[in-house]
Amino acid sequence: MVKNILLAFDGSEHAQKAALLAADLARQYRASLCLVHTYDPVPDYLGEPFLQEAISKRTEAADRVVAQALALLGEFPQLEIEVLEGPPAEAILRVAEIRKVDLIVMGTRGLGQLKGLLLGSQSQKVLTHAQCPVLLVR
Amino acid sequence: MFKKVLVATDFSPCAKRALELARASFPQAELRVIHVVTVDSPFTATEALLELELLVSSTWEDDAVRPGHEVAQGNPVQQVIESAKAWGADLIVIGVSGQGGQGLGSVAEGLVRASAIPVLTVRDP
Repeated sequence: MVKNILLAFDGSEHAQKAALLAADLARQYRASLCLVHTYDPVPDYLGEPFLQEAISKRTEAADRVVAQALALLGEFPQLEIEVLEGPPAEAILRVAEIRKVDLIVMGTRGLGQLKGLLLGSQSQKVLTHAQCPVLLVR
Repeated sequence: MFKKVLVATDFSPCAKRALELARASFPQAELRVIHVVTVDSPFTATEALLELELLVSSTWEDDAVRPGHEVAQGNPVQQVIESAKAWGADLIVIGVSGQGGQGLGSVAEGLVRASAIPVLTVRDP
């Protein structure tokens, strides 16, 4: 039934719960799991050497978040990792389409700047535009 | 893994798809189907209950055990959340009509905001 699961992970508390659930589901269905993490777009008006610095800062932070996710997921035979430049919803939807994912698992709200919002704008975008089912975890 | 799955339906094609997906994806779970009648519903609670029975019996045609179902009245988001709590559901499944911010889409959105348990949203094919 479910063969390809996409886990959107940003390191937030909701995402951590989503990761545990995604791992559980992937094991249950013997599905492959694709971990997607996005980082803020790098402004292209930055000149050298600031551009390089901004890029390496972001990729270092992304590596830390991915490591956190891997620790939560545990051993996984079929795990793919995609680290992409944001905005998150577009990147998640793109990966979902290209990889023909049949389930997206994500937190209800991420680490956005507007933490007070009840439903993250990115989650909302994904749930209204995704072709496949979306599992939202709080 | 999920043990008790509550499926909310408005009898639309995408709600039907959500129901079938829940049935296929969680064979080991207990399912329950709910419909909420609002003030601007096209039918009464009794008619909705008949419709719901028809839906369940046509979806689970060959099965001896069919899921429980209920009709509630009032605010859809609130009723689904309350029913999920009362029944002890660990997952809510709902269809999302494409519009977003309108019709069922807004109920799905409201559910995702309000629910303490995971919500699985299913869109039109």
